[in-house]
Amino acid sequence: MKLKYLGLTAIVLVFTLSFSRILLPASAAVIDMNLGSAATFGLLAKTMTTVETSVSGNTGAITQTVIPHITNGNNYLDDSVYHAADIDLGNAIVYANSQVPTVNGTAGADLGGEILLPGIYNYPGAVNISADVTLSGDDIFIFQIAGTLDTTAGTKILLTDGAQACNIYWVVNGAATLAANTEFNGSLLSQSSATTVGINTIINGRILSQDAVTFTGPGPSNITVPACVQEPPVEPPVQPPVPATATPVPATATQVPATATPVPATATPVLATATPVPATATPVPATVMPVPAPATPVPAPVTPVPATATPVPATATPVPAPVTPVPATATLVPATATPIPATVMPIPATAMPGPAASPVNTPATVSPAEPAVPEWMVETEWIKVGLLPDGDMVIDAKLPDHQEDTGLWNFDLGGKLYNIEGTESVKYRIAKAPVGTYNILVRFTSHNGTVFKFEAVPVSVPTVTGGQLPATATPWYNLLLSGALLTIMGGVILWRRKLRE
Amino acid sequence: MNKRHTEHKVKAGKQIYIISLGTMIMGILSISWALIHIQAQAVPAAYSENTDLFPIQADLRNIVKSSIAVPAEAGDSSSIPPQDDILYPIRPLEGDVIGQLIIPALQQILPIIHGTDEDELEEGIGHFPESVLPGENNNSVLSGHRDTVFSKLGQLEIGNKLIVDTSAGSFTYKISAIRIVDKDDKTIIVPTDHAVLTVSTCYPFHFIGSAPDRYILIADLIAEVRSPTT
Repeated sequence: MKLKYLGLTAIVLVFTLSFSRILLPASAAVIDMNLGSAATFGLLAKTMTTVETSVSGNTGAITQTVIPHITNGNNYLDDSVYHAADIDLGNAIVYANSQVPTVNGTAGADLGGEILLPGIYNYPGAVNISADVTLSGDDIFIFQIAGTLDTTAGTKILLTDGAQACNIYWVVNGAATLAANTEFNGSLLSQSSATTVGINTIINGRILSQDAVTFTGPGPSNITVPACVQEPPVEPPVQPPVPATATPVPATATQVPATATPVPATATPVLATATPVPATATPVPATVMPVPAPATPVPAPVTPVPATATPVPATATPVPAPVTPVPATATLVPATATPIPATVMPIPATAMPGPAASPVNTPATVSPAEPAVPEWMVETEWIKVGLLPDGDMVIDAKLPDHQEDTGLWNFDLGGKLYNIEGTESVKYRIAKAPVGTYNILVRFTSHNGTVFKFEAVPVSVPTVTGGQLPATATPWYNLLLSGALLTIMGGVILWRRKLRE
Repeated sequence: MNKRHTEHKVKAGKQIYIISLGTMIMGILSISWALIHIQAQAVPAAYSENTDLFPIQADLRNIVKSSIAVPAEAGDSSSIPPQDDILYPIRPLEGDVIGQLIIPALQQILPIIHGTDEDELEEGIGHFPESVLPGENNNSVLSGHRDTVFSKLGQLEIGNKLIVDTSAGSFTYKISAIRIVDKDDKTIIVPTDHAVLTVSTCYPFHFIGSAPDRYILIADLIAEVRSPTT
């Protein structure tokens, strides 16, 4: 009989503790992926075989064939530093695998062609990457792969919308094989199976293994330990009232400190276009054409800008913005001395195939749905801005006059910067674009240094439809409930026992 | 045999006693811990009449009361907004303080932070990032904890004013509706054709556990005074 009570108590205890865990708000669970001392290692392995492998960061092993070419780091061979990193790696793998998946994939999934949003992806078996896969969004990605991970030669892990290699973790239980010419982003964490890396691979991340890692000859391959780039630290657009302030600090001031933004070239005058464009009722005619001296025929009046060697601060004078839909004007800035290096993202993303081409955040087994057609908010001759049913923004931009070029597209959405590598025409999908009324500034910097600056496009992005009401529960009322239940339960058991006595 | 059985009974009885006592102690500790935190989360800012407002905000409020106030107009359906509709040329990042909410009826001044994650809600009122900013021509959604910033929200009535001061100006809203909805209701955060301020918190206010509902205030913009440079 007493044992019965003991069992009952245990059951109620377990129930109560589980209940209190469930009651805690989801926001209380924060993913804190920490590699510990292993974070400084670009390459960590029990048995390391490298051939013409360059590593920016530390390397460590118990046994190794040769010491890799190391920059910004040291090689640790079977010493305390290596073993500490190895222990931290093991802890990180356990932690990563303990996270509750947000997306459950299937064994044998092929991520090729997918666009994946941040989250915890769980695959119960093998995963293949047969074509480029795009990771989109500045948050953490964890891939829990129970089987093997294989990439096809020449595939790339592309990053867009602020996705960063430092936030990507491929936790592979089976063997991992990165084929030749793979451009890999993220940290590959392996515990008990071998990792093989083909020739000419570029790894913006880490290869951390508690087993063997083999780089196939003749190489070369490169590993660079990624560093997280902060969001553009623009000044708070809306200043909190400061008692000492005599006048309000408007959000319109050009508070973007060029030195603080992750895009070095924003220091050039071009970003001055972020200043508020004076409101004017004068429509802007489609006149100024970004055509270099030997201009190709253009429909509108052409103002060829001589390609002088002197950088021209193209944005010294803000261009009046149109109040009616007009073709966006573009201004050619003669090759400046400081073309924008695409350094915001470790590996610049290539042009996205568009919203319809690949489903977002869907497991590989789900077939693409009917292409989503954006509702265009703004349509100019060269720039179209639309919203998809799921709230994502699509920017369709092209260079004037069918010019052919490749380079870096910059989109400034109310101070939030997005960069993408592309050709003369690009379709860019932005998840969680800022909501409200603001200007979109578009600029294209070709690889030869020519800069095209388009007229600011004002957009008004409405509040999302059917948004989830924020979870405003603090955990304390849940704790209060748990405490009350525990107290009552303890009291009842005690009372029953006294009665029996 | 009988003796052994008695010993076993006594041992089991002691175990039950210890477990039940431990459970009670755990429960009491949990309650104490929770109550301490609930009590400790004081309202971040106190209210006073204009004298305590920051100079520029006090001026703005006086102007609102005068006839200079610009009445709110229905939203323009045009997809391309005029440049003078751009109140916030640079959009905030999550965690940025974007202004303050003044509730004259409750004599409260509360900071508004962009974002509604726990980090932001700990600091004050959170602005739902997928809604427009206060003063803009659509539905701006603010949320806060029922046990901190919005502990007195239930005292507000239809017709009470809510004033949002940001760098774009001072925006006065009047409560037009009060609703209690399920926490998963999807009819609250929706676009509107005019400037609306939606305020939400958990309901019931003193529910022990995870509150199943949300208390909603819907307020319409009735006056605005923009900062000179916006």
